[in-house]
Order: sequence, then structure tokens, then C-alpha cells
Amino acid sequence: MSGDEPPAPAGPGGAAPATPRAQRRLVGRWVPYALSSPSLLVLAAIVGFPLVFCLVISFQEFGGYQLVTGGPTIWVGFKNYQDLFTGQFVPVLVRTLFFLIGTVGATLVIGLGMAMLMRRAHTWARIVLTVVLVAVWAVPQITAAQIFIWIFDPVYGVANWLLSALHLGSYLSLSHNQWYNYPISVLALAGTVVVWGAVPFVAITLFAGLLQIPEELYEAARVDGAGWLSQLRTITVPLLTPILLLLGVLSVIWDFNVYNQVAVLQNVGGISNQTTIFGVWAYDVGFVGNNYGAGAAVTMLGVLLLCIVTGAAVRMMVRGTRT
Amino acid sequence: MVKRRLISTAAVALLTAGLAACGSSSTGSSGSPTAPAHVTLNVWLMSGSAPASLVTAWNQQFEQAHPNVTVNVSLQQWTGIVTKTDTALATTQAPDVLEMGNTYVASFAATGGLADLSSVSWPNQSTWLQSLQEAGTYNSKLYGIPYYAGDRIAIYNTNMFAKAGITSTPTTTTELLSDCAQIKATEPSGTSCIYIPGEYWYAMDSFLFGEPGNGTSAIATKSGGTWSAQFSSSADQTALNWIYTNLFQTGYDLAPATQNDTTTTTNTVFDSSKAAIIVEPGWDYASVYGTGTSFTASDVGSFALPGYTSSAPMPTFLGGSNLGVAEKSANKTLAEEYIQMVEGTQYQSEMATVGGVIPNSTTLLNLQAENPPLNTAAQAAKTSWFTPNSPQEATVENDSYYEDLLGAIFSGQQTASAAASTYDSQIDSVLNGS
Amino acid sequence: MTTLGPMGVEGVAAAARVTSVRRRRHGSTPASVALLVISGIWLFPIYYMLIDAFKPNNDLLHYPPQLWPAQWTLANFQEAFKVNGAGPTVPQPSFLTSLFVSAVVALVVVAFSMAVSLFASLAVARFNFRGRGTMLVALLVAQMVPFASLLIPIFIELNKVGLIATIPALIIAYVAPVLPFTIWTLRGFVASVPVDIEEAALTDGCSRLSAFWKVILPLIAPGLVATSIFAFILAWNDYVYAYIILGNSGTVFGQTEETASVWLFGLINPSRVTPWGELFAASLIFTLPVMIFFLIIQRRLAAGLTAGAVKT
Repeated sequence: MSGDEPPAPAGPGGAAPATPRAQRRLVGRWVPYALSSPSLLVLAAIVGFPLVFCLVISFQEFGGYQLVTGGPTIWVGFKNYQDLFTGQFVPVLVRTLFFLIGTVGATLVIGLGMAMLMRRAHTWARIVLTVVLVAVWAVPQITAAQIFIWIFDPVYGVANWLLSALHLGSYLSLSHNQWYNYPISVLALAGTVVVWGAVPFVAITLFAGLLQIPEELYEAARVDGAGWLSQLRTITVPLLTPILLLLGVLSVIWDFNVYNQVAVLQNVGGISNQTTIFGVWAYDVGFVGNNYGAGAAVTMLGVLLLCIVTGAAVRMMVRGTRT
Repeated sequence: MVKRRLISTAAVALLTAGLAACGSSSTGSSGSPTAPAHVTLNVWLMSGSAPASLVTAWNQQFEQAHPNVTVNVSLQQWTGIVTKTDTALATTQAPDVLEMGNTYVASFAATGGLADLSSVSWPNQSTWLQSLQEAGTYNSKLYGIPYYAGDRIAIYNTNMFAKAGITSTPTTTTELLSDCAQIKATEPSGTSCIYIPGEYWYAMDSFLFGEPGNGTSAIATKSGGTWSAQFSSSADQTALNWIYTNLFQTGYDLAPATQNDTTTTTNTVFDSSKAAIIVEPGWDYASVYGTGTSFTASDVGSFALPGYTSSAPMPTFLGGSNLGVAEKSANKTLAEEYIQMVEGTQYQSEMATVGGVIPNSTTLLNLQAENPPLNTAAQAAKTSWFTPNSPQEATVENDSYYEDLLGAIFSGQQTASAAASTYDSQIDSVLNGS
Repeated sequence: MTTLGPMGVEGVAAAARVTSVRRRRHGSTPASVALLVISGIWLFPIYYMLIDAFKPNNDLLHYPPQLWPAQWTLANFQEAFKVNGAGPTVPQPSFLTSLFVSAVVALVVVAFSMAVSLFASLAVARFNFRGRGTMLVALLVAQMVPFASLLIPIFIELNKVGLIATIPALIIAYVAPVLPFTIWTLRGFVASVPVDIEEAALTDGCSRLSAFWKVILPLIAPGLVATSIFAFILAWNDYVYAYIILGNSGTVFGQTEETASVWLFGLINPSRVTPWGELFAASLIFTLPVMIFFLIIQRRLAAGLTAGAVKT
């Protein structure tokens, strides 16, 4: 969204007294500052300050004692970070990376597929899907996770029943709570819940993007004998790249910090230390472990990782505001 | 004009919210000797600890003795209670009186969130059960008053035993295994001989502590101020492999390997005759027969979990709770009086007879002599084990390390030695406070 | 947190817009059929929650599962609203109270953040002042900060001022992630109102303020609606902040003070058998306001957005 000033007849910023704009200034210079100061104050207090504060306490020993008594925190330098690196950092990171690749990949692919189908389908079919997607979008994450747990219930669940009806039961035994034994299946289920809830936003946004692509391009390609896959490769994806990038970045940020779905699943069973991904880890270290210094360190590591991963994309977007 | 409208709307909304917040628990106590203002005493009790009838009775007694006080008991779930208590103790919403699992007291005390109760005189203090008293002490100060103890016994289905031709309850693990072989032969598939969920460490770790030579240190030992977890020790490894081979791989234990025990779920399994033996706290015995169940009193029996040799049963985990007072409570004196009442002889006797738990004083232990299962529990308590007495113990438990270790081994995902080396180092780093 | 992001607002509008403008005369039938199948798959969990909310418990704990209720009952809803009943070990906190708490928090968050961000967006869109550019960049970057990352420092901060476990604390915490997005979006709406209209009002003798009230405000109303819904959803659906900052230790009207999301999370508990029917009945009630909002604005938003186009 580029900056869009109301067109001023002359001059940058309209400071010259001779411009009609200045004559119409009926309020003082202080007005914009007054209008924006409440927001800035709130943002500084609840976003800016906490970030800085988080950084500070990540270098301190801040545990239950400090929380309860407000007592003195001890400066320990990088000790919290060291403990994390010699501790669970690598397993959690690897787990999170695989989780991310799975969820972000699935979300984008499925979303794009849906958008492409929407483009080609009848209007009424499009409306049906849009309504369904909007309804899915509205479902809270906790609720979604709980529904999926029930669907995959080992004894009464629909999934188990479907698998046996399709005679796939022997390949994929869901009975006897066995699927909770394997962290990979727990994470796969969590990932499914995440993707289920994330696809609507992606599909609808990509559809809006697809509409920008002129039909003539596709017709020309069809005339040249290009199949749908080739059209996808040469027209759709390249033209959608900016949106795909943006959606990818947003998905990475959201999915990296997934907590709700995994927490609901861990509540039911399994080997929780092996299903902890980054968002859950921050909570575990900080609140479950009653160690807020270490929890802050995990948080800062997460922010740093995200900055690195999404840095290029953010720079592109920031440049967009200046034009 | 517009701004003022919007601002006033927001202000009204905030005011409403503020009023709603004012509905939050108020622990306001005036402390004035002339006209004591109305006080609400907030008490956190854990679910399943005390029978509701007892709680009602002692609340009534307390409110009669203090007319300006209303007692508000809030029952808590065990899941996530450590996190919840940690945060609550740091805030003005801290409860006045709180029941704490005895393995947690040191951790809460270490944060400074509990009031030091050493200088108050407590009924029966000289005859308190030693393990409960030790659990409630941190840095030589008393923070948790013994409330009750509980340990686990084996509850069995007498009909299944009879059908399998078993004439006496097992007193050694060898006998237990041969009994299980007989039961497996006579019962339909899908029936467990002994149903213990894999991550139920209160029961499972008994097998570790029962290994000869393990003594009191099967979980972790402390030397020179440093803790080191012992799951890799040869004794523990023997026990872990024993459980996996003899209980899970044989199919004698068909409970989920990666879940902890839920008393109500296990009772349901027992009730539907899908398990011949379950391991539950002594007070659960009364719930498995009678109205609402499939059994009468003669259908069930109990015995102490048999040891590896006939010299002693498996050591049992002496669980239990202590009562504490939040440091940030505004009603400390009232809270102390409440605790004195609950842990005094009158209600402790009823906890033993009505509640079926082990009371906090040795003078009251004989109250259950006529009640075989409770007596079993009380006798079994003589050989008991406890968790490491570290302020970080609650964190180890809260982070599910004990459960994860067992779950990984009993689901077959990791060998006992691999799992032990993974988790020993993690438990070490938590116990040693890093 | 998959919420109505900036692109999403336009996306919904575009999707809705296209459905009302017939750009293509021929739809492909295979594609339509595929869409219907996909719709069915995606809808299934919601459908399943819906029917399970009305099934009696015996039918729920039944294999094979019923894909259509053999019997319908309202018992699950009654269970959900029971106070001090239900749970075998712990009395059930009041669901109605938790809904009330969620509603209060969400509505105040909306009111407060709308007011505050409206002023800021006016400043940024209508005035050129020093620091404006920096402020825009800061807003953009702030949108990138993961909400969950702020939990620990916000918790400690609020605890220091003694606000933890109070409703105002939770309200304050929710405003943080809402503001950057709402200011950003409203800015676009405000900027799209042509200056001429405002000028006309002013020359007609209106003061600046009444020009705002009579001219700008009605034109940006759809934007206000969209952004207020975003704020509402964030506050209504969130779990972690509601649990840590408000928790369930306090009482309001003599009942447990917690939000509905915390209430629902606590219903699945290892210490007891999960009451699925009751859970889904309550979840249905919990999900309904947001779902209705979404479905309503899906159309209105399109109308509003085509009138006051959001510039990219």
C-alpha cells in the first residue's frame, strides 16, 4: 500500500503559505501528533517496550523467585542461550522446520489448487466454496483441534471407521491409541488442523490475485498447445509470485508460532517432549518451567529466526511504502 | 464533539470492564479489631482429595467460628496445576490456603510464594508422618503442613482369579507373572492381566525402586550439591527392561503406552472386566464396587504390589498433599487457623475413615485396621519412595520428563538405555537449576 | 494465528465481487464438481461438530459412528450451561459466565482500538507531518512481530503493576496486535475518501469535526466494520493470553472468571473422560458469533470496498 497523500496543488508537504492547502488548514500543527499519540503510546507500551524488555530479561536469571518477590534479577549474560543450545534447541528447531515445510507447503499448494479451480468453475460452485471457506476461517483453533481429535479418536472416531471401510485399516492402524505413540503422527495431526484452518485465507487471496491475470494470456497459451501444467509454470506462478511470497511469509510467521493446536493434542497424550515445536517450546520453557529468563531467550531466538527468514520479503514491502 | 463522544463511549466501556474486574475475588481484610469487615477466604483444594461431605462440614464449622468470613473452596485439576500455582502465587489473586502435591512444595517455597509457617504451633506436629513433614520443609523452614498421604495398591477381580485357578494373591513378581499367564489363557484377548498405563510413573517407578540395591535413589542422587538422574544405572535399566519385556511385550499389560493414568478411565476398564488387576490409590478401592459399578464387595480384593522377592512388597510412592499459605495472602492468620482445623485430629480421623486416605499423624494410623484395603495401603506405606527433594522437582514433573521417558521405552520407540541417556541429561539440567 | 490479514480483506471482497459480476459465461463442470467435493471435505469437521452437538451421549460413544443423528437432543446444551454440575471430580465452571467475560473483553478491545486507531489513521492519511514515514514503517514492522512472542514480557510487565488476573489487563494485551493492522487498513480507507468531498463540506460551513462526522465517517464505515471484526476475532478466539493473563483464579458474579476459550480448553482433561457432546454443543455456541459476522460481512464488505476502493 503506497503512501497516498491527498493531492496537494503545490509544494512538498504543503508548507508554503501560498498553497491553497495551507489556507485550508483549520487546525494546528499539533493535531496529527495529538491524533496519533494515543496509538503510539499504546504500541510503545505493548509492543515496543515488551520487545526490548524481552531482550533484556533473556540475559538475566529471571525465575519464579523474581516473579513472586519482584526481587533482584541476576545478570548472566549468554547463559540462558547457552543452556538452550546445549539443550533442546536443535531437536526443536529441526522438528519445527519439518513442520513448517509441511504446513506452509500444503497450505500454499492446496490454496493455489483451490483458487485455480475457482477460476474455472461455475459461479454457484464458487459461491459454495467461498461460503464454506469463510465458515472454516471462523472456527477457533482450539475448537478445530478438538474436533479433529474426536474425528481421529481411536475407538469411536470417524477416521478410523473410514479407513476400515476403505480396507486401509491394516496399513494405518489407528486403534489402541497407537497413533499417539509416534510423535510424527501427533505432529501430522496438528499440521492437518493448522492447514485446514489456514487454507481459506490463502485460497481466497490467491483467487483475488488470479483475477488480475488476463484471460488472454491463457488463451494464447492454449492456442500454442500448452497443457494446464505448462500454463501453471509459465503464466500463473510467475505472475502470482509477489502474492505467493507474501502469503508464504505470513504462513511461515504464523505456523512457526503455532501453539494452540499442538497444546490441545499434547493434553491428550503422547510423548510431549518429542512433539514440542518452537511456539510450544517458548511457553514450556517460560511458564511450565517457571523460568522466564530462559523463556525470553527462546522468544528472542524465535524472533531472530523469523527476521532472517522473512527479512528479504519485509524489505521489499517496506520499500513499497516509500514509493 | 465526535472525539468526545468516542472517548466517552470508550470510557464507559472501560468502566464496565473495571466493574466486572471488581467482581474478582476480593481478599480484603480490614484487620480492624472493632468491626471486622467481611472477608472471603479463598481455598484451593485438589480434586479427589477430600470427600465433599468433609469439606462442607469443616467449612461450616469454620464459618460459625468466624461469622464475618465466607470460605470459598475452589477445586483444582492436577493437570497444569504447577503452572497455574506458580503464576497465581505471584499475583494478588493468590489463594489464601492452597493444597499442594507433596512433591511440589519445595518448588513453590523456593519462589518465595509461600508463607513461612515455622513459628506457628500445629496440632499433632510431633507425630506427623515423616515423609510428609520432610516434603513440606524447605531450607529448614516449614512451608507445607501435612494434609494426608496416599499410596498405591493393586486391586483385583476375584472372579477372574478364581476362573484362572489362582488361589492366593501373588507375593513376588514371579508369582505375578505366572498368574498373568494363567489369566491370559482363560480371558478373551484384549483383556489385560495388570493394567498400568505406560506413563503412569507413580506405579512404574516402584519397579525401579524395588530393584535390590537401588534404595532411595532410583530417580536421582545428589552428591556434593549436584543432582544426577539415575535412569541409566544398571539397576534402573534392569527394571525398565523387565517391565517392557514382561508386561508390555507379553501382552499382560494392554494399557496405552504413552498415556498417564486417569483413575476414572482405569476404573472403567476394570469395571468392564477388561483388566484383572489395576494399580490405584487406596481410596479408589471404594469406587470400584457398589452402586454404579458391575461389582459387589466380594468381587474385588486388594494386595500390595509384589516385590521381586518375598521379603517385601514393591516400595510404593508415598504421594500426598500439604497445605500452605500464600505469601501474598492478606488473610494469613485466618488461613493458618483454617489449616489447623483441617489437619487436627478430628478431621484427620475422618479423612482416614471416610476419605480412605492415610492421615498425617502416626497416632491415627490404626484407624484403618479393620478396613483391609486401606490397611493394605497403610502397611504398604512403610516401604515407600519419594521424588528428589529439589526445588526444581516440580518443573521436572510439570515438563513430563518422567512420563516421556517411560512412554518412549514402553511404546518401543527407544531402547531403555537410549531413552535413559536422553532424559537423564535433561533431568539433570533441570534439577540442577539451569 | 490465521486471521483476517490485510490481503484477506481484499481477497474476500474480490471473491465476493466476482461472484456478482459475471465475467465468464461458461464455467467448467469438472472444475465445479471438484469444487463441490473439496467443499464437502473442508466442511466436514464443522458438519460433524454440528451434528455431534445434537447427538445423545450413547450415540456419540458408538461405533460405527453415525454420520446423521439417529436421535436429536438438546441435552448437551443443557449440560454445557449447567453450573457446578457435570464433571465427576471438579464442579464445572459456568459456561455462560465465560461467554460473558469473552464478550466484555472482545467488545471493549474493539471499542478502544477502533477509537484509538481511527485517530491515528486520520493523522497518517490526512496530514503530512514529520515522522509520518517512520511511523508507517514502524506499523508495518509491528505487524510482523508474532503476537505469541510478547506473552512473557507482557505478563511480567502487567504483573509488576499488579494487573494480572484482571479483565483490564487482558484488554490491554489484546490491543497490541490489533492496532498496527487497524491503523494500516483504516489509513487506506481514509485516504481513499476524495479530498474534494471534504472540501465541499467545509465550504458549506461545516467545521472540520463535523465534516469528519458527516462525511468521512460514513464513507469509511465498511473499513471500520472490517477492522473491528478483526479485533473482535482476535480477542474472542485467543487462548494463551486469556489463560496466562486472566487465568481462572478470580471470580466474577460468584463464578469462575475465565474466557470461553479457556473454558473449552479445560474440558479435555486427562483426569476424566471427555464429554464430547457437551464440548461440541458449547463449541458451536462459541463459534457462532464469529461465523455469523464473517458470513455477513463477506457480502457487505464487497459492496463497501467497491465503493471506496482500497488502494494497493
